[in-house]
Amino acid sequence: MAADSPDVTTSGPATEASPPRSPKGETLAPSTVLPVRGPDLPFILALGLIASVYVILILGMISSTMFYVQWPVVGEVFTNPRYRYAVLLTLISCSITTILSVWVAVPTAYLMTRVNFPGKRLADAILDIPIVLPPLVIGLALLMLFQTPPGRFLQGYVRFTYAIPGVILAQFMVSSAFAIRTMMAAFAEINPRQEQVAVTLGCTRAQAFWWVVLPEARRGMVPAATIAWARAMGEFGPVLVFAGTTPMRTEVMPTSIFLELQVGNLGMAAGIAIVMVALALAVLILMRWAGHGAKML
Amino acid sequence: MQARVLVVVSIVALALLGGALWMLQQSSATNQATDQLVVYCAAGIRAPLEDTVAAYEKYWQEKHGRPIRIEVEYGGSGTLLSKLKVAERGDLFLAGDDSYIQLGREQGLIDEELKLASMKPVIAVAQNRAEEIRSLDDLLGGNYRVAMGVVDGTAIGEVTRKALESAKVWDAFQQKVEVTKPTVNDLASDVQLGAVDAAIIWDITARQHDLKYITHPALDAQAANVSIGVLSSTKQPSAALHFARFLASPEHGLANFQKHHFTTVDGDRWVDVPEVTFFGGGLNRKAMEPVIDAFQKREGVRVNAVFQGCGALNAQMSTIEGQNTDFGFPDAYIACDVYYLEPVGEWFDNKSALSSTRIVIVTAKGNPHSIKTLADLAKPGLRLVLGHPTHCTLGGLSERLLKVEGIYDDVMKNVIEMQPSSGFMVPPVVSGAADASLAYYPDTLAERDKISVVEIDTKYAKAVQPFAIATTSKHRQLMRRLYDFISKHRESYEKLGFDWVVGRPLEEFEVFTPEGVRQPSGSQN
Repeated sequence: MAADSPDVTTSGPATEASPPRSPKGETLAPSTVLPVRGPDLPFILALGLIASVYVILILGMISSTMFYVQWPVVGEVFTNPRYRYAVLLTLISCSITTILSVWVAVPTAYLMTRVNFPGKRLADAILDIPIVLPPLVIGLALLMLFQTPPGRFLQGYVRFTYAIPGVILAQFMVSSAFAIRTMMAAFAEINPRQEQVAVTLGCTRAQAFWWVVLPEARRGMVPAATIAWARAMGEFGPVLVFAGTTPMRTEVMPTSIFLELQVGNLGMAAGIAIVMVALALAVLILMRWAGHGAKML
Repeated sequence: MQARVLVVVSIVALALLGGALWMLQQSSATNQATDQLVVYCAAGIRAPLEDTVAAYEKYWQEKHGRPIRIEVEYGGSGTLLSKLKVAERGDLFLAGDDSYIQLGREQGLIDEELKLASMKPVIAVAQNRAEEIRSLDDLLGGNYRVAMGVVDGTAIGEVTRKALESAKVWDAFQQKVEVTKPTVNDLASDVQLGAVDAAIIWDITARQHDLKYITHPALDAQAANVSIGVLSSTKQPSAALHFARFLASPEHGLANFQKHHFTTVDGDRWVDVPEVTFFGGGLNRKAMEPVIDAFQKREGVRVNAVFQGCGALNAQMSTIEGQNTDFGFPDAYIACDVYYLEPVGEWFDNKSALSSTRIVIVTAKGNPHSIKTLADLAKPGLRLVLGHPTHCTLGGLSERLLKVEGIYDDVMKNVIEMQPSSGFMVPPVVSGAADASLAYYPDTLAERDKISVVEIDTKYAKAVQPFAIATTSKHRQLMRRLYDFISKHRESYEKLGFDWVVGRPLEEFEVFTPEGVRQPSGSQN
């Protein structure tokens, strides 16, 4: 949608009334950290206690999984072509899903937060459907959708059912919903004043979106991308049903874990799970870091 | 500018990722196979299937000089079943147990079924309880946590209920159940992790998960099978069946099943294109020929079908030493009547009724002599044609029929001609050379508008065609599929005037022959 306003730089008057660059730093949220004083200490400790229960649970889960890992098999995740394929497919498909999700999330969230239109409440509810639907149902619904005449027509050009595009579509259906919610929260936080000023100064809505809103929205894009990526990586149900579990074709890491569990190979399942956790952590940290860089742009 | 950077960066990233994906896809599709089969496989059977797929792809390449790709889709049996219902794609379905194949057949999703392995339910016991729980009574007597499969949804749940109900401990067992799980593998994992003390699962699953287990006669009685089904949606049935036969052969697939702790069934030995011999009584020829032809095409096998009078076929069989199918003994036999199976019966099993043909009275159009019962055939002056009792089955059966009714001698006074084949019974009546004859109902259909047919109300006025498989056949599974295949062609039989008796026990048609009545022994049909 952003690319739809290329005239911004060419049209004379618009250049003259060039909207103000988004002021760096100012729109960034101020630090939310408050100093802890002596009397606050018990309160803070109580909070810490509750939080630590959760953190300990997470760490407990990870460490007990590690207990089941047969360490030599972790290497196999990278050496065995089948698992290596699953790892690569997971990483690539999740990344593509993430970019597509953010592309959809930004304009959708903008519409939902900055424009009033008939049926907006209904649209809002519809956007939640992929979140509330059980994952298996999403897969099944996709499968059924692509058996309808329009679905079959589309499949004549791009094969989705039991193919890699199906993996991405299945991930995308869920990831986008979360990305949109995150972007909506981000837009809600951004003061519309800058945009209003740009419009007052002669910008069209499109120009204001391109020059003001999009740069501002960058802050929301990082968490949106992060959540989209994380959701995509863990997505299992829809992928299983819609894209299948064919090794060296549509097998992603959660599928591998499922398949290993089904034959009682707990060690291998745990091994893949640990690799998945490590990869997820690495990518999330990378994203945080990249996101931090983006904020500084 | 920053917005533009954002958009450009994301497009470039997307393009790069797309390229990476393409490369990944290329790396996996090393050979652009022209032949391809899609197999849906229960996740629990992955190991033996994977081994067999690798062997088959190699075999195919060597045999045909071109590659084949077997694409396997794994999942829970039930999930796969719902999936293939929606997707209408694929060739084969390898189910965790045959109840799903049954379900698929009922829903018209699956045609042939090939049995691979058998399995029985057992009580898997957690490592730390193995010393304490040594029997079902131990389990029910102690304070243990038990998991079981969902009763209305998993085969294992269903057999658990049946077995324990028959052992009269179902209620006691249910009180121990702490959790129900949707798949047998979930149950095994629970026991393996020690989340429960015991669960009733398949013996194969227990061995795969390396679990200790105990057996019980009531559970043994609920044994089931692992089988592969050919999907109705397949567009290449003979290719699908070729792989299925490979999987079900003791040299290839079944050996892999054994390697992975399965108890396999007796499969047909592997032959790339099996060749079988089929004997059929002449009566069956018209109905059978197109069916056998379709069967050959579908299975990709060769069937040497021999249609003759059953007496001649029986005589031929008794001359073949050791009933060796290599020397021409039939792999399967459809006799004109159950009678003809009896003399050779010891060489066959899997005997099942297939079709029956009524013996009726044929008269000139409008039934001018008012023949209403068999006894009316003894009316003075009637010109009657019968089958020859030693030359054709119909003659033999007619003789028995008249003798049982006690009117043989009276009727024989009216007989002007004894025909050597059942096919000659209608023309004399049509031409006016005879007033009546006893004929098979199917033979009356061609001249329906020139004759009248009188039904005979007795169980003796019937020839029943049984199907049987030679005990010496090397293709017994293939012959079972032939029977199933014929069973699906009811219309082609009924169209020809046969009655359909598939599924009814053969004993129902075994007719008592009174003392002094000669066994029919025709050499023609």
